[in-house]
Amino acid sequence: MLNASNVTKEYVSGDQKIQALRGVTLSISSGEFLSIAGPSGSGKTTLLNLMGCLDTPTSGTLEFSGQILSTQTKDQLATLRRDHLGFIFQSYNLIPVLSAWENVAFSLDILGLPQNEVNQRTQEALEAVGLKDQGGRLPGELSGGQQQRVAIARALVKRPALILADEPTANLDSNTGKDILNLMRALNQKWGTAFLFSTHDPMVMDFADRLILLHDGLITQDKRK
Amino acid sequence: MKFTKMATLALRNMGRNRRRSFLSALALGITALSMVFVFSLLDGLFTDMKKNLIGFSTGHISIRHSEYEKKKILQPLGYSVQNPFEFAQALEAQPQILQALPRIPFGAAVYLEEKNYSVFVLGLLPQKEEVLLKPSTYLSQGKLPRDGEREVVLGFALAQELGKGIGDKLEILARTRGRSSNMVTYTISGLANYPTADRNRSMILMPLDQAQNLLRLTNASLEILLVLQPEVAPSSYQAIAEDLNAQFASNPTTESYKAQAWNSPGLYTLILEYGRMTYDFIALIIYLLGSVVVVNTTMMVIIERTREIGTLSALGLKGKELVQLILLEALGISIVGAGTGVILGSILTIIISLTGLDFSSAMAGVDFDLSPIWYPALSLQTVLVVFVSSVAVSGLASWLPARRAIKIHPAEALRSPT
Amino acid sequence: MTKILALLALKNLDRYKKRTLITASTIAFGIMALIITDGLLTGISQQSDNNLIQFETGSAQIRTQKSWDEKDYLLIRNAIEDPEPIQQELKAWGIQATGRTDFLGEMILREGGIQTRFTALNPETDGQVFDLERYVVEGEWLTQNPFGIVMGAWLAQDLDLKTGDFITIRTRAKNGNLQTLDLKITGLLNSPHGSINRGQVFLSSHLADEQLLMRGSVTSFVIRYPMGKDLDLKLHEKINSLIQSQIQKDLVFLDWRILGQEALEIAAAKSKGTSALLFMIILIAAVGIINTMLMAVYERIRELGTLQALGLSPGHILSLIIFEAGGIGLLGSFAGALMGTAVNIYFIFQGLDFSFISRNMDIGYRISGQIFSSWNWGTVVGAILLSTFLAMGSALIPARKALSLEITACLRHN
Repeated sequence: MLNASNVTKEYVSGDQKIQALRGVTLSISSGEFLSIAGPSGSGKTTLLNLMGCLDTPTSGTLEFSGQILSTQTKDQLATLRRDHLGFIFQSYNLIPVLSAWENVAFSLDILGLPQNEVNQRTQEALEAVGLKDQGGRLPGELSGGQQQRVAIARALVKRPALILADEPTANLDSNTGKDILNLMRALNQKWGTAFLFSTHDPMVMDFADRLILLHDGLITQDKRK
Repeated sequence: MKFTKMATLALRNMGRNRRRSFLSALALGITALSMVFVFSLLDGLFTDMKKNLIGFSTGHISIRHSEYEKKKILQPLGYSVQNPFEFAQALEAQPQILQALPRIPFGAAVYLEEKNYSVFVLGLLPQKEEVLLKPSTYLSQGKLPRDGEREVVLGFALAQELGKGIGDKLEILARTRGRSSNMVTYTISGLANYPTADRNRSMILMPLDQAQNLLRLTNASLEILLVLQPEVAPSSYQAIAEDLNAQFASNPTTESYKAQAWNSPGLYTLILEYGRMTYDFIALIIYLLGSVVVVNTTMMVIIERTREIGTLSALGLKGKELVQLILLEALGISIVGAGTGVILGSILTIIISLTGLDFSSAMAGVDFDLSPIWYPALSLQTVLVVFVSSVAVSGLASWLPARRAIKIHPAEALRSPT
Repeated sequence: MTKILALLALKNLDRYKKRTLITASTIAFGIMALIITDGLLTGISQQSDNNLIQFETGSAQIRTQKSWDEKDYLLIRNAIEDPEPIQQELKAWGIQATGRTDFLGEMILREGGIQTRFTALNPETDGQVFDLERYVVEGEWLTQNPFGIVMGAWLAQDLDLKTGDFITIRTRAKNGNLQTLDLKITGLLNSPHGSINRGQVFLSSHLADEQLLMRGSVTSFVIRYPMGKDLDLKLHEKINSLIQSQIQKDLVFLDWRILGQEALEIAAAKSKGTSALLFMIILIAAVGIINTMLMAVYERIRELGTLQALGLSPGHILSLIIFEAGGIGLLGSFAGALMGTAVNIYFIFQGLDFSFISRNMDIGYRISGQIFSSWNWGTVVGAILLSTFLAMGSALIPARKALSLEITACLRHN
């Protein structure tokens, strides 16, 4: 589904050039549950962003569902994200003016689905993450764990091919973190959505089916359990 | 925390988000710039109006027969000031009075076949008037008329209209004191360029004795205008005029005369007052608008740095100090912005004051003495007032959101994503 | 999609209520000032125009060429010798007309004299073109008595005169000889036209005919159009050929716009000055708006990144920002339009009292006391549209800046 071939990414910071990725090759198939781990600065977030079509590589090819990403326009990438990808951020990034319900429904609204289908799926998604009755609350009124659940519901409700999560448990206590992971696993099994998350938390690394270790912009290990 | 340390911190904070600080400063700067320019323009305007009023019409204090004012429209030559030269001398002996200038202003006509061209004649002492009207400053060609000679100076547009030039003769027809007519021929000795088109089209300067002769006003003038010593403050003019009136009342020869200071309540002072009020009001609005920008920035600063504020609070910084810190930043931006604004505004004013702004089309048809070209007049007072008030208003306006900083609970703040 | 973005924009505006309101108030104030000033200016110039036609120029005049060229001198000898046939012809076409003789003369009183404008009119026909009779505030209008005069009330006040007083007038008759007349003030006039009140005296044409040797001739023939301010071209041509066909060869037909050219120029020039001031206010308001919009965008860079991650294209983000700005613009302009119109309504019915100024000096407009605002829907609508677009336009710059950042950079922001 997603193929990266010798992908590099360079940043310019101030007057210095930083090589975040030095040549990464990997493939992800549908339904996989995998994590990318490594110390800070290893390039995890960069790799995740590239695979999430949020950015384009400096060199190498990225292919998603048969489309070569570097040939896509910004609008086409946006459509790709809208239709096939879901994101869960470390700091939740919910839209503060929208309630939990509206945040989740937003993903479907922009797909142009009919209202009753939007309503039905949103309700389902909120139930799936255990927030059935919290739909009316604004993000500011929810705890960290609850916000992350809303974020998951938002990503899920589209039933995308792949959900990318950037250090999803970093801002949560260990119990809540475990709950979230179990939830994601359950959803992966139920809906067949591929999950890819980056982390430096050993518990999370343990959780995944496949672990990719990144160090200094290169893959040092790619092991399945 | 010591003040200097806080100031330094505030300064560094300003530099953190240079673009935002710059934009706020810019907005305030534009406000300050336009204020300096507008106020200077108005100052120049009012100064001009004052100068024209005093020079052409009223002097610092005018002395006339008390009945003359009431019937002014009829040009009542019967209500004149007797023995003007003696009287003037006596007045000049008083310590506060620099010069006393007798004048005869009257309406007459230039006789052109049967068409009588209405003119306004000012009979004066051409040399002595250098201290009040300063006629040589308006002279564009030729010379001032000489005492005892039948010479006149015409507004240049008037000369044009009549098709005459220097050296040509013209006949002036006037009604005399005895209510009959008199017509005398004069030679044009010079042409003048006055501030208003109106005067250029109708004003004639004539030596006082010639005016007396034409109107058969023996040993009299219609008014005496006083120029007071430069060190006398304008605010005391009215008191001096009252004083003179008391003197006049006690003496039978002068008891019908009335002295009036130019700045006593009347039409012109009212106009000046209303004008000032309107523009002060507009200035206030503009300040508020400019301040809106700085306030916005301050609010943004607080939101953005909630976490940091929480940290500082957790570290033990007192509420008052937190407010101070934020306020200092806002003040810093205001000072930079307003400072740049007044400097640029001053430069703009000076540049434009060299050429003036041409408002002749807007001034068309307006009756009072204001030149059509407006020259802004920069003054230190304007610069300081604009600067201080800009900083004060925007600083004050930032105080309210700054106070919110105290209400931030450290624990909550530290949890905030920023 | 548009609906979704619009709703999101609305919610965002609500979230920053204070800032939205402050910015909207800035716009509102500017719009309000614009509408009020425009209403007053339009009103005053309309009034001035109307007074010009109703009291000064009529709809048009027939004069001699010389009379027009030498109009500043008001010479009685520049006259239309035989106005009768013209009057008859015009009457047949249904056009009202009356003859008037304007001249300068000197009013002599005990203390001195003053040069004044005199108008000799025909009391029988003048009322068909001008409507002065109803503004008589003391005494009565001109009658058949040739020695009665009606004076502007302010002039009488300045000269300390009242009805019943006698004054002496000195002027030149048509043959150039000086004439002195003793006349009695039979009435005082207070009209909406300041200059008349301030310096005009009316007397009967019988007096001019006999004492000033006019004998039926007039210096101008004033016409009133059957309806409105404009004369249709055909009638215009007819009148032109009518005067061509007269024995007197130097007659001209002048429309009110030419006769009142000076007044019209003054009105046009004044509005320019006020526009400049308004422009400055709006400029400064614009600065405030741009600053607010910039802040609104920079504050939410991260959110904008999130939206793009969710699948919104750059174009959508642009629309979102423009909607927000447009929302503020619309809110502010409606509020401003409402407030401005409310104040305008007050000025339309109550008017603004200018009598102090117009009593004492001439500011160019033909008015005397109250001035009234006028409706100007075009300005209101135009102002709303303009400011909304201005607000939207000012959002473009910050929006573009925000979109120039990479999505990943947006997400890292703050």
